[in-house]
Amino acid sequence: MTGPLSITLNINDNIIFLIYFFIGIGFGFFLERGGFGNSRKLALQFYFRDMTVFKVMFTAIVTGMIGMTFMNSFGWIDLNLIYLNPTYLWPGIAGGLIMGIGFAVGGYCPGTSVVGLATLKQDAVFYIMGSLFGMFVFGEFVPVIKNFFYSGFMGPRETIYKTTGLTIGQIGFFVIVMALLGFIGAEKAEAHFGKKEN
Amino acid sequence: MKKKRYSNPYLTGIGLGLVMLIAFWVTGLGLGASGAMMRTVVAVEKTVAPEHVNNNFYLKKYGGEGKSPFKHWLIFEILGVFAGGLISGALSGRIKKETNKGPRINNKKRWLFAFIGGGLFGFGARMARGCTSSVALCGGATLALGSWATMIAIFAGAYLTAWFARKLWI
Amino acid sequence: MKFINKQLGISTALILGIIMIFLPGHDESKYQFDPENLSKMIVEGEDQISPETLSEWIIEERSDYRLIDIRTEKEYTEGHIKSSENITLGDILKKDIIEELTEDPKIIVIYSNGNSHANQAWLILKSAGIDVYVVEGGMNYWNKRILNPKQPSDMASDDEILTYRTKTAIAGFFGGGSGTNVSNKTTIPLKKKIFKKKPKKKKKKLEGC
Repeated sequence: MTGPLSITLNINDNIIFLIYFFIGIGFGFFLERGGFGNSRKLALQFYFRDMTVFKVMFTAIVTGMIGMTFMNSFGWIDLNLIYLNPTYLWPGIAGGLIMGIGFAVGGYCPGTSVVGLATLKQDAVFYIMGSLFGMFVFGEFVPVIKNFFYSGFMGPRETIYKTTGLTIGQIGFFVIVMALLGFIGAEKAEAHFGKKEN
Repeated sequence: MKKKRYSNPYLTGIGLGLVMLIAFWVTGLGLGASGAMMRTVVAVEKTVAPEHVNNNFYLKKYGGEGKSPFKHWLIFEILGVFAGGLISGALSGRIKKETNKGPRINNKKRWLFAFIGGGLFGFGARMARGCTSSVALCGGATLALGSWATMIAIFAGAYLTAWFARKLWI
Repeated sequence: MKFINKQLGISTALILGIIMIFLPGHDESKYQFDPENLSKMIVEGEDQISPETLSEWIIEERSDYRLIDIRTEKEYTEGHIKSSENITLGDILKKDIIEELTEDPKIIVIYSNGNSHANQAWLILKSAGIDVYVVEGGMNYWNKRILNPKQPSDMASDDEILTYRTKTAIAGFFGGGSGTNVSNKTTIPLKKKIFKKKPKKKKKKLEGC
């Protein structure tokens, strides 16, 4: 069966919603397992004392990427039909920097704050209220910066392999090597800076 | 119940990656989080001032006339995330009313900064068209160009701010 | 034990990575024919943009779309919409042109005289996976609604007259016919401000977080 099934099998929206509830359970379960419900554990990432965020995130990215590359080759998934984030370079970078500041100050990101809420972390409640407020401000403010919001457009489905002209697998190999080197570095950093913890 | 240690990060990552892969295989849409929050904001604005939502090109996308902000997969996914966090937390005995913070600040201060940090993250996530779940995780795995730029920017922003925020955490 | 696990993980990842280098990339120019979805888009009017929206895009100098005139060369030289390029209906459906358009990250906007030719081309381009729209009513509507807006009657309200003046100013911008009715004093400068309604960006079917 070629994925995405929702399109190839033409699945009804309501069933998709139900499926997504279960996908969400898996997502939340692994986030909590990894310790993402604890804001301090997340934030210690930025002091090289606990590199869990980096390790979990990049293992997930590499796993997903390897899976998709192989499934594409076997004809199990049609990459033309999956959602790809559009590339608007400048708002993407500016938004990323702002998110980074928010991450270091607030400790959570939106997904992990929901897990924090589920495990009764009080700071997660305030974080979520803050996020809702920040998004409200953005929604009211965005008409003013509309030109910027649409700037740096490089295509609705631009990918690294398309830009470089390489295949998805070749880029994937580089990402794997980089991630492995990153993991070795992360273990070293934890051994060096992380002594004060645990 | 005894509080268990967190799982091995690499195994957790593989689990998370497989969940994402299943999401892509079944629906082609991946994962997300901040979009569900945005929809909540729009839903409130729509109840209070529906005309205002219709006149704003951005809000209209989510809750313009004839569209219900809550009728979207992200809403159901985020409910699942809550349930999943609850299940894992219960299994490992980590459900406990507490505030996680560094040893040098009190709870009230931590709450204030959690609100400020959340506000910045929420604002930035909408500007970059997605948060760490959709942009960094899914965009990273699908090798979307803009997502990698955003992901690098998130880490850059966080590491640059970390020194100024050190009192909050260490 | 732990050491062995680590080695196992690293070597598995590397072996998979090395295999990946030799896997073929995915075929992006693959045709997808999905009649149900296409007909739904046509019914809901998602395949079209109005001449008014297009005129706003042109005046705003938006750069994320490409305007293509699919009429004959003769018709194109006799008059066309500002900023358009000419690729005739015969040419645009050639395989290499379709492939070039597939590579183009921009939104493609096509028009002919009426609707039918442009709609035929739309169906084929859309099936090829191109983000394409048709200008509603083509050159006919453009001439009628943008270049020669209808003059309001003498009884018209101030608002209607103001709208008319705005329209004639736009017509003037595109070299339209009724610009002569407008004296210098009443010409409204064409700035983005005159558009209260911002152009709607067409939404893609797939929408993530």
